[in-house]
Amino acid sequence: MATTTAIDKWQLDSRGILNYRTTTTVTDDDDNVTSQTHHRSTLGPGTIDDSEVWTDSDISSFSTEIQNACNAAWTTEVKNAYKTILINKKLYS
Amino acid sequence: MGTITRTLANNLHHFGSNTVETGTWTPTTNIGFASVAEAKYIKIGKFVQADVSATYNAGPGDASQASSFGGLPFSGDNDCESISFNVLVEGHNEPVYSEVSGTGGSMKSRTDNVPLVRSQIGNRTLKATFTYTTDID
Repeated sequence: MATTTAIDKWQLDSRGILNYRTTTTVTDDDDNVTSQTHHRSTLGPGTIDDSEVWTDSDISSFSTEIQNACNAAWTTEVKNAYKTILINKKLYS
Repeated sequence: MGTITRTLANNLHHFGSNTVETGTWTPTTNIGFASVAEAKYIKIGKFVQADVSATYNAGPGDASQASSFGGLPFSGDNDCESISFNVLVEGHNEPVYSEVSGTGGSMKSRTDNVPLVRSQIGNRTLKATFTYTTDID
């Protein structure tokens, strides 16, 4: 029996929010999949604290492919637009 | 007049597709959660329902309105202004609702629409069901 965990699906939405799925797969000794469980996460370009100070999201743990996509999508304009949403909705991290 | 055939796929079409996915997610908040008893989701096409039962850390107990949560399993779609009334902060004697946006949502009083403050959520348990739509596959 073997257990593997990996990001098997990811997507950036139009505001630059990274959506990704981490799937844990269990296989038996014959490599047949016996179970799969999913964990979903979202990550915006950055966060604000309750003083509305912006911090870029840390994506260093992601694959190069995902990092490249995020770095291309997370322009200053996108970050500013996202910061405005966070402030307006009072979404403090 | 033709015959209408009702199938599961036909009914799910109203949600945008017939894709169904279930799993877990990790709620986050400004003061952190001391424990998460449950955080699950089901997604049917564009429709998402995310449940959570989690206990906040004590936090600083001040009047900062940093009571929102994050980490939703899917980002709400662009025009998502979903309001969830199935929100309870145990021990807080006031009706609460949440407005989902992006990766999270605010926690507001239904009495005055003002976000809860950290002294109102510290050490308390959040039990909620958030329903909203997403453009994510």
